[in-house]
Amino acid sequence: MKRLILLLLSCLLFGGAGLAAAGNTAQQTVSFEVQNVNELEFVGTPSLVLSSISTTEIWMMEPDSEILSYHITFNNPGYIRARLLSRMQEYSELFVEMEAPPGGTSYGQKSLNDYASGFPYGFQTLVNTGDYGKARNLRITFTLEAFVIVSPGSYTNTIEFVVGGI
Amino acid sequence: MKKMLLCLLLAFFAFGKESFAGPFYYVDVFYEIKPVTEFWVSGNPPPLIIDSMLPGDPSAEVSDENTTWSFSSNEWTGYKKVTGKIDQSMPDHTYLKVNLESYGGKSSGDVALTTDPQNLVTNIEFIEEDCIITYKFGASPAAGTLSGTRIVTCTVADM
Repeated sequence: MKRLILLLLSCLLFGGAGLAAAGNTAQQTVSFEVQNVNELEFVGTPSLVLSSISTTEIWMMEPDSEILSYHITFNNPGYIRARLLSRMQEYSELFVEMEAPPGGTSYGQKSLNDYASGFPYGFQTLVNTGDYGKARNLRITFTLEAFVIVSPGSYTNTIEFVVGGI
Repeated sequence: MKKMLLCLLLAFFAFGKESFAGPFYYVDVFYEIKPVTEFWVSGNPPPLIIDSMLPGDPSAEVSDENTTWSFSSNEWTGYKKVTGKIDQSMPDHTYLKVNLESYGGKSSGDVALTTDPQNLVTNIEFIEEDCIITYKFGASPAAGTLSGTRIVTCTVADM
């Protein structure tokens, strides 16, 4: 009987100790992920006005440019590309140039449409952003050119920008 | 069947180039082209000086072709014309003629300027660039010796 009691006590003691040990060590699997972040923000709205004949080329209106700024945050190598969503007036041309974030490369001024027909070219690569970064107040320059045969008037077009994607 | 698949594949790659995952951002661009009509000359001609006359000739004439005119407009309201006049009449026995060359329009040729506007060029469309202005100053012996200046005013107007 004494042996039985001892055995039961041992089981309680060591068995209980075993459960306590399990309670001190817990494991969990934590999944984590950083997705591609490509954030652009434009400051202001470009408004371009052609109001005189070019001083150097009688066939052209004097071009107009407007410099605005943009902010960018990205964590993966990629590009900034842009395209016009609709056709420009025949014999007018819209250009965009974007300053690259530090470590990136700007491809300079790019035309977004064929001047003679006005048709958009499709996506034009403006900037190689580099590997990752965050920058504010980078310059973006919009320039409008037109031949004098473009009828006077007020117009609107939309540029679609896309970031990332090699 | 193979050709069709190939075409589909080519089409996929052709349009696939324009497919980016995004994100996409949009910027509206507002632009305005104002109506503009500009007409200008390259400067003043040098003095037109008659310093000799051939014996027996009824008059002498000198000319100058050193200046040009240009015109550019994005307003199409029909053909345009250039008229010209001088601020005061020429002295007796003298004349001042002007001839505006035109590439796209119709030049009136030599026109003796008066204080009333006269057509110098008609049927102008959008652009005339660096067209030569020819001035001719003539005098007969009866004019005697004299000197003077005249302001020539050229005006563009709808026909």
